[in-house]
Amino acid sequence: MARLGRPERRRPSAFVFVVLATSLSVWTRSGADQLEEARALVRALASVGGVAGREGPVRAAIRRTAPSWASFQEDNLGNLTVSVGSGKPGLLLLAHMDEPGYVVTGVTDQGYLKLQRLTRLSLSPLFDQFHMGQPLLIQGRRGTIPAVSVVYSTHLWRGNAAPLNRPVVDEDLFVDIGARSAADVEAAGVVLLDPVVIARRIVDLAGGKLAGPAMDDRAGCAALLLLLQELEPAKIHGTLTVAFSAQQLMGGRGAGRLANRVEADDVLVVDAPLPGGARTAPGKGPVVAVPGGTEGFSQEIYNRLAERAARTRLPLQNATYGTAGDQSAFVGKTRVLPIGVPILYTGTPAEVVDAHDIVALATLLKSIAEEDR
Amino acid sequence: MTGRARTVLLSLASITAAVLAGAGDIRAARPGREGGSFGILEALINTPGVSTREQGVRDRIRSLLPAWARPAVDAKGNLLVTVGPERAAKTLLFIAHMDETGYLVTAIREDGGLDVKAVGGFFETLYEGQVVLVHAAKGDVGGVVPPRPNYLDPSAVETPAAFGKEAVRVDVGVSSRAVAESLGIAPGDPVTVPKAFQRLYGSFGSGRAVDDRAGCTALLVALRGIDPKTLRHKLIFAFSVEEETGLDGAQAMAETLRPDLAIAVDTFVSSDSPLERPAFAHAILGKGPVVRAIDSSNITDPVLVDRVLNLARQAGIPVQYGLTRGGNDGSVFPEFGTPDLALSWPTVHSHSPVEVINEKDLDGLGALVRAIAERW
Repeated sequence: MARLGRPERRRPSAFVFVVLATSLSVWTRSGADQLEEARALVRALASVGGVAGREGPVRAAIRRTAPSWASFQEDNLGNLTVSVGSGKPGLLLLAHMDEPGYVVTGVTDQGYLKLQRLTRLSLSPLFDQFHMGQPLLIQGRRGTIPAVSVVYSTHLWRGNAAPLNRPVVDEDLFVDIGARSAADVEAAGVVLLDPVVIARRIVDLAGGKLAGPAMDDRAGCAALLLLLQELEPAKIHGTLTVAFSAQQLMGGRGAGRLANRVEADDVLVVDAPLPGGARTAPGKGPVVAVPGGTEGFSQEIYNRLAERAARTRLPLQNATYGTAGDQSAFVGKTRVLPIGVPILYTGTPAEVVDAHDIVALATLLKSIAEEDR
Repeated sequence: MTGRARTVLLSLASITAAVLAGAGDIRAARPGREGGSFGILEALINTPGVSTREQGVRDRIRSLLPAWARPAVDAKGNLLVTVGPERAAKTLLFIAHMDETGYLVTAIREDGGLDVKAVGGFFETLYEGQVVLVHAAKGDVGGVVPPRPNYLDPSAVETPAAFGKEAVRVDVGVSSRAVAESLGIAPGDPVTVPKAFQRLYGSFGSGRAVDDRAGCTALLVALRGIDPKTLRHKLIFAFSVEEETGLDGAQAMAETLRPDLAIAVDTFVSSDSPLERPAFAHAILGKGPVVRAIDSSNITDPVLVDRVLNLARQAGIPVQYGLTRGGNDGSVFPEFGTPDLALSWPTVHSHSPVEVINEKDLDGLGALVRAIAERW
């Protein structure tokens, strides 16, 4: 999730479609199969919670859905990496696993849970409102525990909007798991600092689009998994490392660890663009950061991407990315460029992505990984 | 209409399955209790039934009736099951409503966005930035209620309750009216959150439209428990339409039926919540069904209230009584000469996606309805 603050400045808002000659057929599966697989992967990954620093369920989902040959390494911060090939050049592709959410910080005598948001900086000032009166999930150590967030009853306040006519903050939230005492909470297996996310309601929109929570950046993770499924290791030049990073929302902490342990000449950070920046739309192709500004993104990688996109007849949209995401770990140290899929309603529990964009992104990344640099 | 409803039901079932499957490793907070009423409640809650679009719920209720029941549907759409001696001295009418709050599509814009109107009263911010399902003729279509345009700006919280009314629309991911129509979407289609009843720890459960599928469940539990041959009174179990839009289904019954007692079985909105003021409506979840003695629509004769309380005690059913807000279907009967009362279970977070109920209260309510049916 490339976020944490407003965009520093505006980027060109027009879509840039790069559609030229040559074939799209770098895949072994049919287009319909790829789309179905992309949707299944996004569903599988977004169906579990992954609050920053508590990405375990996402890691497990990635291991479940990755090809059997993929031998993952997990480091001390919880990043997952898998490498293919050897020697130089080194290409690192990473997408973050974590999402904004909460942890349990208290239990009332009546058995309600109190929460604090992780991280403190919210994408939308309505983030806490989006969680009030909604089904939630507690990621307990013994399994996921269903819960609801307490909200005012319509009938008891009819004609009086007072209770909701003020900003809702995380400290306003009470979470009900069905316990009516602190002892009940303990018996249910909930302990302090257990992560809490909104329930995973994922729906299919028209034309290959999906909506649900944490599409930022499970869509990016899905694109990398799709890439792994379709990789032909013999075609890889140098070393390709695919990484799933932890704690992006903590200022790219996981990416910082990756920067120190993965030797890479080029880094592509697969993440959602900043909302409110250049206008992009799901279904119109992958998005890419535009170099040339103060962010320090690589013009060279951008040019290669544009060229490969043209050759594989894939549309690309220019997007706005800040420097605060996982890219912050690499800027100034190596060539880095953010890329991703467009997301609508970013920061809500109903983020919209299009499976076509995920397939196109995986196709483009595969093409880059296999090119002779 | 019937064929369409079947399509909607089938597609809902598949989406519900997907929603539940998507929950990943959620462990059952509590295994389903043998013979508990939550099994029926879950089936009813997972079926959408926005006011005036109750067909799916009506079909589901029909499928859950005992084999001896001969249901009839009146001109308004109310489902009625009549049982007991035709020439009985008394006729008791039990009413629970099938409909729920939600949205109806009012128009499809040129850009494919759906204009919707709220049906019934609820805090519309509960839908802001959330996923929904449009229950269309060709099956359910997922959608999003877009958040207010400035939802990313600090200014968005300055008027947090400003979201609602004409600002609400639904985005199903299309860019033209023609594509929306090709999906079967049409004005009049109901829109709900994805319906998925969720059991919680202890005896609690949660979902959208516990109000009043729990009332429908209580009637079904009673119907399945009684022996028609042993009844002294004529009983009418009515599953009504359009309660949330003004008690319209009950009004139609009140104009044609002349029971000796009308008993609405509907929510007691409780203040048993850390966000509410306990000064009134303080029926405790888990402490038994509630006699809704006074609400915004009705003041029940205290003699009737006492009679129900005594009957409950004799039957060994823990019971509460009190005052809450909101109206109920029974309240339209007194003007036609029929006394009424309202039976309830306590619920919190009324008209939200997460209304909470305790199964013990629902079991007790079913038993209380049956006790009244058999012993009044």
